[in-house]
Amino acid sequence: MKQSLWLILHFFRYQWRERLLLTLGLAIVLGVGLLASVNFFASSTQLAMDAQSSALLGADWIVESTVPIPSDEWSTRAADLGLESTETVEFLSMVASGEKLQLAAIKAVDEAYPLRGQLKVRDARGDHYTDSTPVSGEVWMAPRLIAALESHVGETVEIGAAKLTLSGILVQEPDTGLAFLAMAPRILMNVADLPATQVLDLGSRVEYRFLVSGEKSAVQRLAAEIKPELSPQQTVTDNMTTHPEMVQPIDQLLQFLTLSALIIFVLACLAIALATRTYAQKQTDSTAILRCLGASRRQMQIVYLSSLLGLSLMASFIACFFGYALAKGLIHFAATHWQVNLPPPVLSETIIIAFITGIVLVLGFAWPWLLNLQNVSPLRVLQRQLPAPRLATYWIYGGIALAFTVIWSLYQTPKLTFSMLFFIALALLSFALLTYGLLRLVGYWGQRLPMPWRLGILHIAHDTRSSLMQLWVFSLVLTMVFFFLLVRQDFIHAWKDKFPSDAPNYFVINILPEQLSGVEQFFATKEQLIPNFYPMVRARLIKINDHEVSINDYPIGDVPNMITRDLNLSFSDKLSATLTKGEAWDLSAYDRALLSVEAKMAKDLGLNLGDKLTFQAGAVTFTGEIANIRQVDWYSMQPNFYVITTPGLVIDLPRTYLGSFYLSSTHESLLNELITEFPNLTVLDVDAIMSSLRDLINQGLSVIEVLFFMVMLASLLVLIVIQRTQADARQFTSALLRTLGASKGQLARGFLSEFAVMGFLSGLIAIVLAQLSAVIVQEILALPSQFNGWIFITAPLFGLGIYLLVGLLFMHHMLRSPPVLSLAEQA
Amino acid sequence: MDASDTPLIQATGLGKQVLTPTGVLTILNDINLRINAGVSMAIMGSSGSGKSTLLSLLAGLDIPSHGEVSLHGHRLNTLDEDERAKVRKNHVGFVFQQFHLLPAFTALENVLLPLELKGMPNAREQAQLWLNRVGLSKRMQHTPRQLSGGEQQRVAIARAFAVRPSVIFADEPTGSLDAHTSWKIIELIFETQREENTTLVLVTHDESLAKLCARRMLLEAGDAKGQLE
Ligand SMILES: Nc1ncnc2c1ncn2[C@@H]1O[C@H](COP(=O)(O)OP(=O)(O)O)[C@@H](O)[C@H]1O
Ligand SMILES: [Mg+2]
Repeated sequence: MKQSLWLILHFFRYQWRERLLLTLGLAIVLGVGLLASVNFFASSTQLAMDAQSSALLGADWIVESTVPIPSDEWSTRAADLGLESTETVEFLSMVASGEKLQLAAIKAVDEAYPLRGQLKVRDARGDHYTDSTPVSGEVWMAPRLIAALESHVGETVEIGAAKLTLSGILVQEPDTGLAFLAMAPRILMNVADLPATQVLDLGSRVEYRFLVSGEKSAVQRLAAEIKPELSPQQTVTDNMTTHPEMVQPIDQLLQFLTLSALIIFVLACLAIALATRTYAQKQTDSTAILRCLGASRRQMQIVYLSSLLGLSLMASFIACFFGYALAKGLIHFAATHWQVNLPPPVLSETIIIAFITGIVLVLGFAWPWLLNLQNVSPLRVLQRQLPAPRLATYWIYGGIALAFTVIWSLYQTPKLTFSMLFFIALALLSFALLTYGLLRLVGYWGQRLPMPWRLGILHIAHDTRSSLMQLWVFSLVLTMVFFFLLVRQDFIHAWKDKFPSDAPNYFVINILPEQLSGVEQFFATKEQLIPNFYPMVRARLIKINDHEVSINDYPIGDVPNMITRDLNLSFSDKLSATLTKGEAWDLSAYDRALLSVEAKMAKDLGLNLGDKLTFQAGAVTFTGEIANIRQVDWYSMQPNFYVITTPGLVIDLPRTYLGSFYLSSTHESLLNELITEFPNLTVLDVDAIMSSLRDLINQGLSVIEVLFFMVMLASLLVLIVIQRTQADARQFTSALLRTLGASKGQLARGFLSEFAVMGFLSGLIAIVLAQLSAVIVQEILALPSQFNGWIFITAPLFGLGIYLLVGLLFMHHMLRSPPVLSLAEQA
Repeated sequence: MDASDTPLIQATGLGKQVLTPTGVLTILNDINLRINAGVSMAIMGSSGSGKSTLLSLLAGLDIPSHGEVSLHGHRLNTLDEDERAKVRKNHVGFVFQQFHLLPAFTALENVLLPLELKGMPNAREQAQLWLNRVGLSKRMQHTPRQLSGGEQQRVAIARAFAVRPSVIFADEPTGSLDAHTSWKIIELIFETQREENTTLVLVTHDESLAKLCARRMLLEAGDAKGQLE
């Protein structure tokens, strides 16, 4: 044992002196550091995104109910789990002020409300956010309602039997929901005054909401507990149900984040694996000598294992702080340059993960090679020609797989990443043959090149093992980079278009046909603005072909909503939409009875082209034939309709119009004028959601830029390591050729041709792989795909350029050292 | 230039010092040397006496700290790296103790390499011819890994002579070989040297090898301790 310790110390010192540990140390510090920081960064982003979407809900989790909620019991259970909770009560009621009377949507809340986000109020200082709520005896009202009532702050308003003081102007609540539901203008009152109004006794429709917020897992526990106890009148609400348009980009972004983390993970692993391999291979000679001198296999194992352990401990330690600093720097950068506020990383937890990562990675990758070292024959000392023992392949893959699994299980593992991993592995394997073939081809054509150029080609063609290794590694790196770039491009493309800054942020509903031209006129004269108008007819689906629809046929899913309630149908004389089946129609089809059905509805109800649907609107029934199936983006903030008909079919039915338009916040007073002129109209404000979405998307795009930076860093790390692993062989070749009289130029050309071919081939392989992977990811993430043929030319050139660049850096160094030195070193 | 009165290699006041962590180390000290064309010369000395260093200076692989070397009329001090490489390419062949073949290349390609670098016509035929001459006609497509030490050294010899250099520098060419193989290799080198009328500078610590050379020089800790004609 004592001897072992002595050996360990001396060996470590020797390795330190000889810079054997330098590349490996660098790989660990940078690789693990990057991993740690991407982890920091991902968790920060996740927190920020969660907070943002919760703010739109006013809570993390909500139960909505049309019957009273056992809120006392539930809030005790929530408190036991360390969660905050509150109850709100919403109902429609007439509000009186002086002579004026208006229908209002009243919400009674307590001090805890809202649990997430803030109320926006207006006073002499202008609009601002507040954490307070109306105290007992007071109410806050929407500006629209105050205008309609011709009331003023400080005056008394009546809600049912209660007389309350108007004390504030409520501009916006965080949980406006998708404002389509909130038709009437809002009043916020204190829940303590509720009994005094006596309105709840009148049997009017009331919505009770139980709001919960707090730590994610605790919320999930509470949700799991309460869900089974809910009655049919009670439904759970989270972001997916209220804000699909918000959840989708967040979900996409988080998936992308995981994907990027995986890419960085693969690259970091690659760097560490390569560095470890080189390190272990360099130990062959010293091992032989020590074995010759009587060191046991066990002793050698202990010596190497402990040097590696020491190194990985040290490097992981540095890496943690490097990673932490990097993450902090990025978050700070995001805050100062992009006005994106991400919560600071959690130091303790992530450092532990990073620490374990470093050690497991090094040992996992080194282990097979170290095992191999024990087979080094002491005879090598006498006979240098004796080959180094070959490594059993299953050890390599076993070790790599083990390290990979252990580490990746420390991070979250969505299905996406595993399928990606699997795909990459499969693709690389299948490309093995192709690369081999390419190398043979290169060797064949290379024979015809003039000498200095041919040198590099011959090198590639002959040293197949090393060439293949380099080609694969470099292809893998480039695949990662290209893949990242492609998906990033899709994201930017998908998001930038989604919510243009002039996308409609207001909707007006209930416009009567005879008011249409008046409303149009109003906007045209006041703002030179032409809203989009959509006619709407309410009707219920009663028959599919000759079959009466029944809820019993469709017990689950979204179907009950489609058949138990009136649908909003729209009609159009010219259908312009993305059709998945069938033909669009134009004016010539005006009087034909045609229907256009949304794709998901068609799927859920099993509808096909030519099917006849019968609807009932009041006492009237009408039947139309499905002419086409239509794709609708439910995640956009656009009015969407399940069914659109030809005009002739429904033109005689009672209908209203929905108008959508963009109005900048400085012109909002216009809306009050509109309401005054057309009192029956309701204005829906989605501006808050739109701007939240736009913020979110900007944040997301910034996050992607940060990730890009990190992926690039990781790639560079691998490239440097792979060059270092080749350094000795190159140095030798270079020295020998110089000795034989090759000029620097000739040498350079020899290496250049090698680098160029390797870079080009890698780029070619990588872009094919990346494009394939990107197509799969586009499918999974529902991103629109775009294809650009040019990348198949630019990507290989890019690979060539990068390879040349990194190669040249090392070549420069190589060409400078005199040949005699290098030859001596090799000996 | 008439080779008979001007020496092929001439070194005057040659010295080499290197900077080590413990101070300046003098490896060679004031060496003077003249070697005429077609002559064979042995540089002897114990290990670490500076033989390889002297060789690398004479061949222009490294530059001296003091003194001058002229090779085939070129004053190496006045040339830059590439110009010295050109002199080596045109006039010098090497044989090393460790053979130093490119592991990725076949025997034929290893011999072909300097011929191609020099741009000689019929390079391939020449290379095949030389491999025949060293008795490896059947091993041309083998890589160094597939060849024994003696065979590798034969390839190296073919590579050195194939470019028809004026001088061959051989640094302990038998140092890695067994006695029997060593004699075969030495015979090959001297035989070829005589046939081609090449100058030979042979570094060795072996007296019996040195005796085969026309001239001998002894190095001791960087100092020349006499020359024998
Ligand atoms: N670049 C160098 N730096 C430090 N010491 C060197 C260098 N080159 C050679 N030496 C030292 O100079 C001495 C002579 O080396 P060398 O010429 O290789 O001797 P020989 O070939 O006679 O065995 C040795 O002690 C060697 O360690
Ligand atoms: Mg020597």
